[in-house]
Amino acid sequence: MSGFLRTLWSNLLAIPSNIRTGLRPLPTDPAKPSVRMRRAFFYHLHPMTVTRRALRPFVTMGLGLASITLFVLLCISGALLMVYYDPSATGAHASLMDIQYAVPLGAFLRSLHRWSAHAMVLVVVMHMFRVASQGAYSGRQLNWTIGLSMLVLTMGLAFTGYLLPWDQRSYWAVTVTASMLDHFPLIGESFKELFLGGSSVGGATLLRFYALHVAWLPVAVLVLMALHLWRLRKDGGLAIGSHVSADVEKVPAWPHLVLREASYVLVLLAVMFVISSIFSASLGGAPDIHHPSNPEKAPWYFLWLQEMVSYSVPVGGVLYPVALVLLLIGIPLLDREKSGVGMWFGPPKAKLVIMSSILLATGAFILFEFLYMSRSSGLYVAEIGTDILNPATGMLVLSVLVFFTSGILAASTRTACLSALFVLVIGLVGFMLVGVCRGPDWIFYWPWQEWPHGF
Amino acid sequence: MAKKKKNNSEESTSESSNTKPRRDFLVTGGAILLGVSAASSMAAVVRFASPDFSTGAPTSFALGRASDFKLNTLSWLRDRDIFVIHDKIGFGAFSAKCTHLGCIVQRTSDGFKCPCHGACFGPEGEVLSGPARRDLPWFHLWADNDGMIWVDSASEVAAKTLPLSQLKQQSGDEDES
Repeated sequence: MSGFLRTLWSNLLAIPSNIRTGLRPLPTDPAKPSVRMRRAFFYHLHPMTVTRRALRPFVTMGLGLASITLFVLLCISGALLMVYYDPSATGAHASLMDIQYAVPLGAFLRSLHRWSAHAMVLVVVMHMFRVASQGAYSGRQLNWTIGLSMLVLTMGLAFTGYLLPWDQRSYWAVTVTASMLDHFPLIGESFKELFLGGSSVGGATLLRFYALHVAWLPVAVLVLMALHLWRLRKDGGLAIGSHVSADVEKVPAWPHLVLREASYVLVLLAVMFVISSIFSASLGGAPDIHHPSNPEKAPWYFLWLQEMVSYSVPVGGVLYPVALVLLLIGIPLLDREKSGVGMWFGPPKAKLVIMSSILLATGAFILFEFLYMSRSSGLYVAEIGTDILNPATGMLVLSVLVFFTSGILAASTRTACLSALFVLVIGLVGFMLVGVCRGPDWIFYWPWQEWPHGF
Repeated sequence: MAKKKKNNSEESTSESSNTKPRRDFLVTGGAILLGVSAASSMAAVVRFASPDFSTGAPTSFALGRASDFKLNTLSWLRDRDIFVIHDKIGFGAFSAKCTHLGCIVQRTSDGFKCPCHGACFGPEGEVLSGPARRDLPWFHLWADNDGMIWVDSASEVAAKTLPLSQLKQQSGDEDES
């Protein structure tokens, strides 16, 4: 009896210190970092030791970590916005007005969610090009494919989120983007109706996009993200070829890598918070579904497609994007080279060839656009030939030519693939920039040129 | 049990060659079954998301009486995104949705223009210039016995106006079918 009471008393006294050690299963012995890595959840995502090379900022630029950070930030800010959001055609815009103007910190959270979404699309795309440029997909086809799937899901998340404010811009941007599917042969139209829940954007679309945006897509990203990190560990961390002799010395991941990552995350969060405090996300009036503005544009990550579709449906809307997607999926199959992995653009000779391809593509793009636009003062005339003779076809043909030329010049399949990929991407970025410059009636205006009155 | 074990070890060489095709068959068959179930689950999800009812506005609706549309005028039914022509031959209706990317076209002095990307259409919806490649679609019209004109915006017809009498006959056809 007294033994029991004594034990109980000492347990009660020890509660503060036992809470501390019980909730924190870390070793108190700092000489054993390995135990720390094995026992703490967020540390166990890392290998026990990493190369000094992995600590250098410009090896990966931390783009994968930035994607994860932004995703978490989006989940939290999004879950908070869900508290007030009403996903119905009649209530959506009003609930947005509440969040923007009446809810404490609502405007800040909206801005944070929106800028993080744009940043995430950008960062995920950059992450993909970092991996491609270093040939880091080599021998890692599964993880490359998982990564591509997450890129698609990220764009899906951004696009479904674009509709949710339900203002004039979001309504028509989604209408315009979804209508591009109409031009895709065989499956395009039924695919569009499945996602829109009808032939045009309406209340059913809003509810579907909302379900995809807050449940299906984020959960899918979460599952794939876990797989992606697990595969990264199984594949041996950062891809590195035998050529890299500098900085291969191993150091413990804790604290060298973990603390660097933690500071990176904090800086990124700080940047996003500052941007969101300064720049407020726009919110237009309720949509007029019978009266589009002039011009109506897709979100920037689909604007290149819209620009190309306005040249030609078969080339810009089908051939070019299909070629790009096939090249991205097929790159680990076309290129089986083991050497040069982990070097930006490969060995010096390959680097030279790829850089020349990029320069050539930029010059060719400007030339193609100049020829095409000077043809009829920027207005597209439906005449026989525009389906074939347009900048999209030009860039597509150029990428095929560059594929073979640079492959033969550098005697390397990787150089061929990367050169062709970069030609297509220069086209893509160029078309996006031209799309940004489009004014009323889809006429090209330089950013410093004023649009005619009334727009 | 013991006897069975003995048999196994005795026939280990011959059995491995005997059971391998069977095991391969079971593994392949199992994989195919799993694939089929996964595919049919996907099909079920797609079917679930494609209801038989229309979630949007009905595609068929009454436009108005013949007398509502003045002779030689073109009326814009704003809430329906549709244009109705009444000329000396009769009535016709075509879509106001641009065939390029689905914006609503606006009237100009010599036809229609899409405000989004500058596609131009002639007075009967034919493509004149711009990124659009298809003419504005014309819709099936019919008149009921009260002289009310109906349209089905889900069924496209060749571009021409029809006399009221023919619209009434079409109404009769509808009833039979």
